[in-house]
Amino acid sequence: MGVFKLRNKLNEKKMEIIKFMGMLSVFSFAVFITNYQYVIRSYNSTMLALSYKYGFTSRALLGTIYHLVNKVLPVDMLDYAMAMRFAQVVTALFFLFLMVFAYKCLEHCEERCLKPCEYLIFFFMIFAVSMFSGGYNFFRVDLFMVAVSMVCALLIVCEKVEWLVVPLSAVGVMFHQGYVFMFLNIALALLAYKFLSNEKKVKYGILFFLTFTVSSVLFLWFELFSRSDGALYYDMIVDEARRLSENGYHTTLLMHEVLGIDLGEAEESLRKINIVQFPVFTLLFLPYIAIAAKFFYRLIKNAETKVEKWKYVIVLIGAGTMLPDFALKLDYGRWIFAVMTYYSVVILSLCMMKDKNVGEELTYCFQSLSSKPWIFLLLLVPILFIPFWDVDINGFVQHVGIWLDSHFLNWYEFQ
Amino acid sequence: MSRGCFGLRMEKNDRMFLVMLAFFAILCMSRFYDHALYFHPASFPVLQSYSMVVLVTTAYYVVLFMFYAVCVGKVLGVNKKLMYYLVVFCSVFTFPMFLQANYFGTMDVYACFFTLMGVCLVILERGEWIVSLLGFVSACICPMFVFSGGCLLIVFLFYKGCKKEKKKYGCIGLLLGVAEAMGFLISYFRGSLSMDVQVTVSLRNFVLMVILMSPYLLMAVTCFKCFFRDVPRKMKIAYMMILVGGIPSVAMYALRGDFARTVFYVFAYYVVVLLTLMAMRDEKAEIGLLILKGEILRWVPIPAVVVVYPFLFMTLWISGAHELIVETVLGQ
Repeated sequence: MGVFKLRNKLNEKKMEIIKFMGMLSVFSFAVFITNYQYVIRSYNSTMLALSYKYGFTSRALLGTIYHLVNKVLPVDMLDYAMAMRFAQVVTALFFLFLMVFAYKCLEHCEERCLKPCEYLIFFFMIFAVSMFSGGYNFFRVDLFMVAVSMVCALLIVCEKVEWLVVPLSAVGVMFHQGYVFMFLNIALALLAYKFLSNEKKVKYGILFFLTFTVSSVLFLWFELFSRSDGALYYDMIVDEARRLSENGYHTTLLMHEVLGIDLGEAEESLRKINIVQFPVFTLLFLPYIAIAAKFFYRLIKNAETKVEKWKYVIVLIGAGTMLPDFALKLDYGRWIFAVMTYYSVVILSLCMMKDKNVGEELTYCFQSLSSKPWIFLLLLVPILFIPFWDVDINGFVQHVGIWLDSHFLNWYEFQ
Repeated sequence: MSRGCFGLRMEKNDRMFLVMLAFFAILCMSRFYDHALYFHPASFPVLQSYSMVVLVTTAYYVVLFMFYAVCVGKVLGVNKKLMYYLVVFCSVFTFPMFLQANYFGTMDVYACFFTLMGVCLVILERGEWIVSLLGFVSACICPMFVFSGGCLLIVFLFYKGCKKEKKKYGCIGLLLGVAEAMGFLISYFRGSLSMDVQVTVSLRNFVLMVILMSPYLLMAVTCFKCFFRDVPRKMKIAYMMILVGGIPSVAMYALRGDFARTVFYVFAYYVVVLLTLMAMRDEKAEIGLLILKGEILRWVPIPAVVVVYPFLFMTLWISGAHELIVETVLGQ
């Protein structure tokens, strides 16, 4: 009788997951279709012109893969139309992967965490799908970095071929050296968590050390040494970039990546956008920040041992790797998305690992929120914030920022 | 629980809900209002002045909240949560619509303002005679009101007449019909009978939207089919009138290619109908919505998605400034 009941219960969970995945597919498709603009920005198409055949330079992995595909396929891929097709296929595969991640997460988590996880996945998907569907970030290299970090998370959670985390992290840095600040924290936080909670301390200690070291070395290489003879190939790269872009290539990107000319000063005036928009965004996002803060406060407070407390503190401060980006760079839309990805993926991973405390706090948070009859309004608000862009965080905050500037600040001399 | 004026029962949760909804409305205003006023055919030039448009749009929001307060206050305690969902579902369409540049300052906002006032009067059963005056003014300002809000008011008066079996409502309905016809004719003879058509959504996007929104048709069928079970013939006709009342406006705008308005009117009409019927404690509406709620809970793991989903289209296709930012400062 007990076995029969258990089987019924399992079927119930499976049915719930299937229903959720169906709903998520339809919703994600709608998010995609409403954001999609059938355009690759010159920044993202120019990236395809970079390749390792011109030296082991930064951000060139994607271009190298593209050139390999060009060699393998019997068609000439070096034009905008084919770049668009490639981008469409890659984006579709990425969304499929997001769905697989969501499915795996729900499949592995405890039954009590099912609903909270569904809400968290739904919340994350709204931002992830819209970000990489909208014209601004369609086929942006961040997509590959998110995918790599999520694969790392899956490997660590499932405890299968975990050593792959090291080369995968290197791959992430090869896509874009910003991976070190933006998404490497997911793998590192999970490895640190495993180190503190697992018997195989040596294994996870070594993995943590190798992941960190390999990524850091690659980062330093790309930042300091990789552009030595870029001038030799510049014209060739420009020629390819022109063919791959719709309305001309992205000069700033090639100058920076190939010739090593730093145009940081030209960007300084844009910092004003950040200074105006970031507080506005933080203020508008306060309800979600408050929910996350309450969750982590209770999680750390209710941890029984000192080691457990440390585990959760590490998970909480893991997103701190984004601070250099926030302080030195301008693409706040991307940084905010990276922070959201970090917390969503790490919490979902902890649920997959059936962490008792995370499960309890997540359930508590979900129940206390469900008791408020107006709470579903919090699921509507994210629609106003999508899609995320880069220097301008999103259309909404940009709109408010321009209004604030024109009425009070008169700061934006570039508008 | 407090028992306010007009017999409205406002609980603590109701007040909290309305406050949260007001915050949401402010967010919507910040997102959709882009300060641009385009030309729209107007019966009187003063109605197109910027300050007048701002004033009437604000008044529209105030009346909308009054309507919501009436609906939430009138409904019984067990149906409160259902009412919250319905109110938010209605807001998904009504909040952004008249703030977007293409529809900011259209005469529809005047028509909606008067329609909502009229519906409030019908629900509260106070001063229903004023409805015919509102209908006349609306038809003078926005002649196309006759096919949208005008239909809504007439069918509700007809419904009330059938339900309460009072001749009063028949007389008011007749008067409203005459008033609307007079307003329409006045507009015609003044030469201000022109239809405001905005092409914000392409036919391709509209067809996609219809396909993607098709689950709502299923929901509507689930909800409305029980309206016709075990009811006297008179009420069947009343419900039938309510159902067909939404067709004229929808057909009119769809045929003229204003697909944003088509989507707005089809949803706004039927959601306002359900809100009003719930506020009037119509048993069939309550049963229909409870059946629908059951089906949603059975099939949709996150019920709020039903409300969030159309907001995507309203935000990004109908009301959103969705242009790709020109690569100015850093690119090219």
